[in-house]
Amino acid sequence: MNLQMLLVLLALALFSTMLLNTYNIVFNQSSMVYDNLLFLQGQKIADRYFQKIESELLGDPPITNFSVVHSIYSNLNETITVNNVIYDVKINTAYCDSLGNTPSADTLFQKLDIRINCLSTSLDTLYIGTLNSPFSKVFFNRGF
Amino acid sequence: MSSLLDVLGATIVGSLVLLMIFTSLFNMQAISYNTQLQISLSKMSEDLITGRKIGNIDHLGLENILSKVGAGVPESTDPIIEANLNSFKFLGQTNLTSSISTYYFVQEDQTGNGYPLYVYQNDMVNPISGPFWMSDPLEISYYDTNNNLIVSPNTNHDLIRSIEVNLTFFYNTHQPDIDKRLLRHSIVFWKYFKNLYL
Repeated sequence: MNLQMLLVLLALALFSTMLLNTYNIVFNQSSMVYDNLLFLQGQKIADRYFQKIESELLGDPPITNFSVVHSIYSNLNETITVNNVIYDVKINTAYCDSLGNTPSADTLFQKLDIRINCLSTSLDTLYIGTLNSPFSKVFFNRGF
Repeated sequence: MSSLLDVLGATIVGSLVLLMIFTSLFNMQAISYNTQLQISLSKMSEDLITGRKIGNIDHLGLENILSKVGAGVPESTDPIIEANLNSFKFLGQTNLTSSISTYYFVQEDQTGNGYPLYVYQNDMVNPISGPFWMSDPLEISYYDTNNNLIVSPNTNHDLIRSIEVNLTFFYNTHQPDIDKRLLRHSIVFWKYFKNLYL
């Protein structure tokens, strides 16, 4: 009798472990989906900076010029709050050659790198663009 | 008597285990279904914002349509016709050879399905896109060259250089009972009107 009861309890314990594991997998998948939504919003934020710089370099004369962009964005840290999520934006820029290789003594091109961090759904830091793989764009000096 | 008690005990324990299995299965199915809906919702939102190709036909996204603001419009003409919190009407050329079109990007009155979002081109009766149902009203914010928010955009068209668009789409979740919650997808995107900088 005692042995039977122990076996039933053991079976329950084993089954519960399996169930917990399955739940965990489902929740992980769900978290991945929600983290991707944050990632998507991060991409839109990075695109906003690229659009802003591109637009401000247009016109004759433009609103800003190439060297000013370099000094503003050479080491910029900003935070943007979107839908109650705080995105920590880090921007670096460096003069480069036409292929985006940095550093370069030539001031005809500059490469702008954007990295964004925010809190993921599991409260870990979600890296949207990293030091080795940032969102990058090469801008051309139109002479202003 | 002892055997009968054993059988009863086993039945109760077995029933509890079965109940736990069925509840777990149902919960996991509901979570998976909602996750799948969330993916579809964000995909639909991204198709609407960035565009989609079906067969050989390119369906322009909102970003593409908004990039036409002021394109090919003479300097003497105001390219912005209407700039409100939930509507934006403007002039722009679709391509170099086309005539100037009037685009209208608007959230219309709320119905039982939510807030409908439509996009019109020239014909202000038959939309080219929509309805896209949103859980919250459309929010468009307008900014000037210094990225300062324009408080009264409809009376200051000449100051507008960029917009921030806040969209919230939704689905009904799997749960049909009183605990029913909406599955929401909020996204914000920005559009700088390059033609207005030139």
